[in-house]
Amino acid sequence: MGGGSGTGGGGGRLQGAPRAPGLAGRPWRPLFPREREGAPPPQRLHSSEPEASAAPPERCSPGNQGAVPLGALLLDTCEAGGAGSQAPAQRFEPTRRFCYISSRKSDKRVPGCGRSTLWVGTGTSSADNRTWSLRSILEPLSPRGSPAQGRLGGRKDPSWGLLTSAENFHDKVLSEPLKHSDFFNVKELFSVKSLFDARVHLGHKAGCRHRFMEPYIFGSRLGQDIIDLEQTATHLQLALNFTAHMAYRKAIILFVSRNRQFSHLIETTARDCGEYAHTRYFKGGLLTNAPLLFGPSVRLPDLLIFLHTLNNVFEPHVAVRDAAKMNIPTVGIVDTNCNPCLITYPVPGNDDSPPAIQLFCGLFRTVISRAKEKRRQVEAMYRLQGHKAAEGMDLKSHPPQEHRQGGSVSTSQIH
Amino acid sequence: MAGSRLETVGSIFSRTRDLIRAGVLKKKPLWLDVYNAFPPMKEPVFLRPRLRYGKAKADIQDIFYHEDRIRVKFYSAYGSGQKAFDLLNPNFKSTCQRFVEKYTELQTLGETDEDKLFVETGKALLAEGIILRRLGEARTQEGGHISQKSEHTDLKTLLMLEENQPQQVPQEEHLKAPEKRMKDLSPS
Repeated sequence: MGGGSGTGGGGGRLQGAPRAPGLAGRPWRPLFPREREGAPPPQRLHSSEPEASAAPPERCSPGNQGAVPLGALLLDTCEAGGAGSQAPAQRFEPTRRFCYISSRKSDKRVPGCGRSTLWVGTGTSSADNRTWSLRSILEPLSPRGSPAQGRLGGRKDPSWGLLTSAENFHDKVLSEPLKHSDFFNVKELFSVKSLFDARVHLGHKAGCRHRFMEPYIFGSRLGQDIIDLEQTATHLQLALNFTAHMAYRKAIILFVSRNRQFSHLIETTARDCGEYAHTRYFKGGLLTNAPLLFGPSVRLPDLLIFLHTLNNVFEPHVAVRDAAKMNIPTVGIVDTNCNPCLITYPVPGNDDSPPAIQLFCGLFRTVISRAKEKRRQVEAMYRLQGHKAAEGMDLKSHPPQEHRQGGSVSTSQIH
Repeated sequence: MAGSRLETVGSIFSRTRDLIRAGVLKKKPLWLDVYNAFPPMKEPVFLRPRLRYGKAKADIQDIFYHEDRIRVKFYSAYGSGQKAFDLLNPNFKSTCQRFVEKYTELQTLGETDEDKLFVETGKALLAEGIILRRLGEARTQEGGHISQKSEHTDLKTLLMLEENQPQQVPQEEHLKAPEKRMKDLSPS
């Protein structure tokens, strides 16, 4: 059943009869196109960016307020939601040498697409004179859901003013969100009432019950198990938080499900958040024998999200065990007939009703998008800070490379 | 890259942490810090599901409400409600639900006798415009014929009762209901 043939980058569904006999569904197609022509070369944080490494330590001069003053800023992070209007029309294309998991051997790696982390808008807010401190960016999201608006006027924080190397900043970027209990504010995305309305509490009949799901079951109403939504809420919060942090760290996330009813929904969800999905037949050594199937150096997914833990014959999905084997953390919706043992962050809930799955898909999509958003802002901040330092020096100015990206601001507009 | 593929030993966290501590795994995986900061409620250790033997049972309680007693009476008297259930509407009230609400209303007003309450509720609903057809009336005619024919009246009527019970009734009430029916049928 693996190794079905089909057009590579083509979109669209089945065109006429399937190519090979016995081929049930459409072979998997890539979620996003391959390398674009004219895409800018991938920018890496640790690459030898001359201006970054040559940036002198930021000294507290009279003009500074201790925090990193960024002067007239162009980045308007509060318009993150409507970024499409300002930023160039490039979606977040992950730079990774990872192959989307397909059953076709001929589909090799997706070459690293040009990374468009920059969101520098074309409009100048020089009149604004807002000073953003990096610290304010690395604050938890406000309850309103939009990224932190930051404070007008920099904060006096000497530790931030002395950011020197990229590694230092990188560590800070990664460690800072872990200090807050709910950095991405996932609690506000759902409530017990919304879970109830989506029928997440409905389990299977008592005869189908799995022994290890008993702690998560509230009771049994006329033979049908009812899942305890209080527990579901706590588990879901943990799972979403973990997903957000992983997405913030640029993990590769793979949605897995073998339920045909929601196959399309899950694939579109994955596409919308720029991640991956595998809702078809899971070939034997996909995770455990990846170098053989895909090529010598392949980056495996860093997180697996199971919308359905069972396959079509009501057995645990092979990927659950394989992820545990490959030390890949998993997040999974476990129904009353599933085994939650090997799943790192199980979420007890209904996986059969459309409203429930739609709710979960929506939650994952929101959370992943938010986290990536945040990461983009932080990196953009860093780049601008680097430029500021470089321009402050006024010497050895090689024009920074980012500014060549299509649609972004040119050097002259910074002042 | 070094790794441990023993999914039945410990959890991914314990294995990875120990490999790093031993120096076998050089590069920390992406998720380790996040897991450390936000561990799950239960560590994902492999466990073999064991069967229960003998009289051991799961300690999951049944969910019953006080209104269920009223519902039993309603369904045994009137059968499944005349109005179909509209499940897409979250605020939907079925005939049975309205009956239950009216019953509890009258109960709070001071009535105590169950049969009286039952009758009163029926009358109140009739006044509101809901007609309830008693199931028992149609039943008595059939029951009468059968009792003349065969000697095994009890068994037959019991079977009929079980056939016509559309809703699943809690066990204790189920025993009461056929007894009540028997009382209804025997005079005829």
